[in-house]
Amino acid sequence: MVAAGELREIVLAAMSSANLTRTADSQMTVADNAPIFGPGSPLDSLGLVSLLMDIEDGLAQMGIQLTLSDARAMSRKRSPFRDVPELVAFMTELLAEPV
Amino acid sequence: MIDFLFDGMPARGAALAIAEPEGICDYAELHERVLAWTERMAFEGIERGAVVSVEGDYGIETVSVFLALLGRGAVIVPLSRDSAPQRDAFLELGEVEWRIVAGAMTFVTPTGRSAAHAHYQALRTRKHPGLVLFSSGSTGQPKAAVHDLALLLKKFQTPRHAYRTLVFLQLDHIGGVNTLLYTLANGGAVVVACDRSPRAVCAAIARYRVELLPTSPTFLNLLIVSEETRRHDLSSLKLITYGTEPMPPYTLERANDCFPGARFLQTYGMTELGILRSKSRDDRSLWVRVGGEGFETRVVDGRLWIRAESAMLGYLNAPSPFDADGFFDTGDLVEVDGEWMRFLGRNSEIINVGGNKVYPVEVEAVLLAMDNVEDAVVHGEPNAISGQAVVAHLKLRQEEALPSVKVRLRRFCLERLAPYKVPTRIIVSAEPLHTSRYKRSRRAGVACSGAA
Repeated sequence: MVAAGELREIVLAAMSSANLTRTADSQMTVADNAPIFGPGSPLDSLGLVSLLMDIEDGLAQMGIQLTLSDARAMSRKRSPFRDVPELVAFMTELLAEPV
Repeated sequence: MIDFLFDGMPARGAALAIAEPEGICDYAELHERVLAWTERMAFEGIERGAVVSVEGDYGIETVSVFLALLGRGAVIVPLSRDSAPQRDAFLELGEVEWRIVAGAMTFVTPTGRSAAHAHYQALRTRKHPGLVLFSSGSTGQPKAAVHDLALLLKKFQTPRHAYRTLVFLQLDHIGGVNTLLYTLANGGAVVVACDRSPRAVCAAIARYRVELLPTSPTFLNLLIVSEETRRHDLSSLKLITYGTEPMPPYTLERANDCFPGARFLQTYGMTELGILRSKSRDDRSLWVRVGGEGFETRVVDGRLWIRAESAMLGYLNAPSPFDADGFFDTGDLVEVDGEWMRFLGRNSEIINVGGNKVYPVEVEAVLLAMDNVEDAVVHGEPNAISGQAVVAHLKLRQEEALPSVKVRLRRFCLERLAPYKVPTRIIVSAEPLHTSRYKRSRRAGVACSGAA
């Protein structure tokens, strides 16, 4: 089981990395409670796709294969991509599922 | 009708016809070998209309057998080493009655099969030789295209320039057959390299003073990247032709700089139709005029349709792909400017990102211009957010950490492409990204596959 703290580090690292290719006025806030997609975030849907893939790559480095942008994520009432805590909770949930 | 191919041979005498790694053969010897093979076929009982495989790579023996079968009016099923993994399936699908397996000893064996397909019957009624080529198709089963070789040969009756030509594609590819027939019809020579590596190709060009290099954009890119071009005298090259896939502009620019003495011509052909005559607007242009005698083109909704006199009779294992007027949907998307056309890619390869179309070749062209990138292949993958996402496979020249590659790639692409065209998934691969025929392989998840 991967600790929530580790998952958060992977998310934050991917956000920092994404900021390197984003313009000065479209930087994401990199913080434990920062928004990711939606109100308060400069990320558009393409940016989200890209960020999620970077997070997947980060997980792959730890030997974890996970697809974050799947249909279930999209159909939820409350988006798992709205902020860092929601995304970490969503990842934890996916990881807990039997393979 | 096909005699012109053979009639000129004795008179060409000592002129080089074929050069292969193991030896060379002039026209007089080639003529003798073809006659000897014709006698042997008569002895074995291979008659007009028989369906015969020619198994082996381009060389003096396979070409002699090919020509003897052509003269005898047989249906030829060439199978090179490229198609070795599918050989049994192809023999079955082609209803092959005789196998001729070329090697140090060449074996002729009956298979016990009897070929009765309607297309074979049609060729027998016409008393014309035939040719069966397998098209990979981007999905599903290979399709067996049956050609009337007399129709394919017709365009070679008009004499054209004789070149010393490096054969790049094998005899089981429409491009390889076209090169052979063009070259021999005009008294040129075919030169076979030991293999298709940049080094072997350059060595063969230098050794035999090759004038014409028919190739693919992928191979041209590798050739330039390999720097082999600097280690060999390639000044004999007069013409470089490229086809089988769209040309990235950056590769064409670099190729022109690398071979200042050569002209560049884009070629276009399909397994089902044969090779069209073509003319590039100029050496550095991706705009091309295709068609010529025996071919009609039309563009419908951006897709190229062609009607060809030399078109195949049909497939052995699929319904006729021709419409009521005899036109064939090539599946290639083109932009049109008067009589000129520019190829954008295969309809089946377009990536749809949130409703926006992305042509892999456009993105690949940008990636190829990046530092430390040896080769790049772009394709789509399903994505729940954007419908599809753009995936880039990269082969690097030197090792580099993935995060660094990603940041460089995105910055580089954002300056040159619309944001939706920028690859979101980036995969660094140690394996070659092309097929054995030097065509970029865009099948999702398969960096390199055997078919082309």
